[in-house]
Amino acid sequence: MLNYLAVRIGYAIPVAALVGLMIFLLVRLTPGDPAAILVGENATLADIEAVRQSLGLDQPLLTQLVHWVGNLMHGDIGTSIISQIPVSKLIAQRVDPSLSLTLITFVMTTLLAIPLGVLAAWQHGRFADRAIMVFSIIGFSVPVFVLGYVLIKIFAIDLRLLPVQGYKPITDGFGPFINRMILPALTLTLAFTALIARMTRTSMLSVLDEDYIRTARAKGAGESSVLFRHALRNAFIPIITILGNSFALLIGGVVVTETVFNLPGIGRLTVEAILARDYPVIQGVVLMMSFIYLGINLLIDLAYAFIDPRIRY
Amino acid sequence: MLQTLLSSVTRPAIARTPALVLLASALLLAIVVIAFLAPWVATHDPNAIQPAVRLKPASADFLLGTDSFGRDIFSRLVFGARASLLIGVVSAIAAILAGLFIGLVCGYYPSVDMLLMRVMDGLMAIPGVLLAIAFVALWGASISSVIIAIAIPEIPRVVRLARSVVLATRHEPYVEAAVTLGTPGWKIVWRHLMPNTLPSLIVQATYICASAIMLEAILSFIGAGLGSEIPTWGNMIADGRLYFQIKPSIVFIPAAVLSACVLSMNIIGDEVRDRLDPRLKKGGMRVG
Repeated sequence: MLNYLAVRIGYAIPVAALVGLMIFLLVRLTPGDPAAILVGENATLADIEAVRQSLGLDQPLLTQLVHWVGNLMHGDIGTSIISQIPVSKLIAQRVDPSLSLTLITFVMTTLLAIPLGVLAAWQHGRFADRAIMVFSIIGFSVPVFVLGYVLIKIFAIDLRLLPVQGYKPITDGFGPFINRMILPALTLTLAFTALIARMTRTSMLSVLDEDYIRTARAKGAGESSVLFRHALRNAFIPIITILGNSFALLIGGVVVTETVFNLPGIGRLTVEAILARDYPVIQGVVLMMSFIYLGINLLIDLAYAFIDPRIRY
Repeated sequence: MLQTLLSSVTRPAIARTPALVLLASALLLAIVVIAFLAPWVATHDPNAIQPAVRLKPASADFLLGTDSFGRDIFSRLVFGARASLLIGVVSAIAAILAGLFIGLVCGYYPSVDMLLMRVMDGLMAIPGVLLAIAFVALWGASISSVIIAIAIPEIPRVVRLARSVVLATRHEPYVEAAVTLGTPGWKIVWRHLMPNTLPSLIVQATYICASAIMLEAILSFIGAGLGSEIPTWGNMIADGRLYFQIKPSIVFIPAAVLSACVLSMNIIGDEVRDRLDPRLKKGGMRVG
């Protein structure tokens, strides 16, 4: 077990380093002069030079890399060139709406998608399966923001049941918080349920072909016992892997959904940074999200070793 | 028994195709034709700004009404098909070619496999939308930068697909025979291993094309996409956003066309997958 942990963590470190290097190069290898792009079209040469020096872009690439990595080790992922606030602080200020949205979506998706996927696999080829698959393919063909607008039109504008946009922290009371969170969370949940239900179905179908399922049926196990005790338990590992991998997609969805519903989260922070060309913020957010993704997937892999005794290195 | 077998062989292929797939193909074909014939189909210059006719409803002159600049929505939709399809198709081809090359190399040469696959793992860890946004923001929005930004996050999945096929087939007798005969490595990879990857890559290409069109719309929506002098379905939705509460159709018309196009591609992708590789029939290759 310890050996497995060491191998898996040892593998994550170089990948994390490569992610860092790619994000570092993404910014440095832009065509033209990043400093000139950053200050905009009406800047003087002196302005450009000032920005270049303040970002350290006048140094050799290797020096910049060493400096950047050194800062990362101290937990410094950069400072906004617009507000002069450290990026980590900006992220901390904006994390609440994004975290709430992600968690609510994740819970709702899991509760909805896994039963739907199991149902589709169980009813393979029949009406319920077809209906779920049609819902699923529509769900991931409609862009998330379009889904958001459809929901706003129906529930906020036509029926006037919920506010159109905005955010209230949970400290202002659960009612106002959840009122503004329902539509964004529902938007993302619909999109992700489409994906996860499809994957759950695939995973269940391959498990339902296994010999031990036939054995379970042959020994007279009831249908629900076959589905949930024998099949779903074995299908869970690929399903959890997919949930982990889809985290990267979920981040993308969060960025878009926050824009639609005007939630002041990390997604909005990213979009504002792009519009203002605040590249340390863009770089910092992308880096942070990638590391979170790697961390989640590492934890999932480690969890397997405890859940499933067959997995060993 | 024999009868049904015979009839299934002689029945024309089109009759065996589900109605939904036929509908999707017809729709996609129509969009492609319209995109090619855009200058003749459009009734107005898609960029002609007429402040006097802002946000007008549909009429004989403006078939689908006008947007907030008084531009004809129908004509922008027609020209938008060009940009959106171009971005979708070229991104798919670029991602497939790059991914195929890296995947073949990784699968056949274990010495580079370790390093390249870690790079791919790293690339997969960066959320695709964020990578694309950052790329376009830093490189400036143009058709080519948008295509590169969309194609790059798709590469790792193509690499994994191509590599897995190579790993599964490289010890087949016909490959071993070629090795024994002294066939050079590149020739084995190209002539004997590459063709095996094609079925899954063709399927993957349709999915990438669909998601590329969607990602372009997301980039535009966020404000990192192409400027509205090149109409795309994505920037039509983005431009219409501020007027959404006054005139919802300004967002919903391009959104509906975009969704229908992406849906058609996904439906066709599923059908092609089922036909090319019946083993995959139950499943979905697509993770995103």
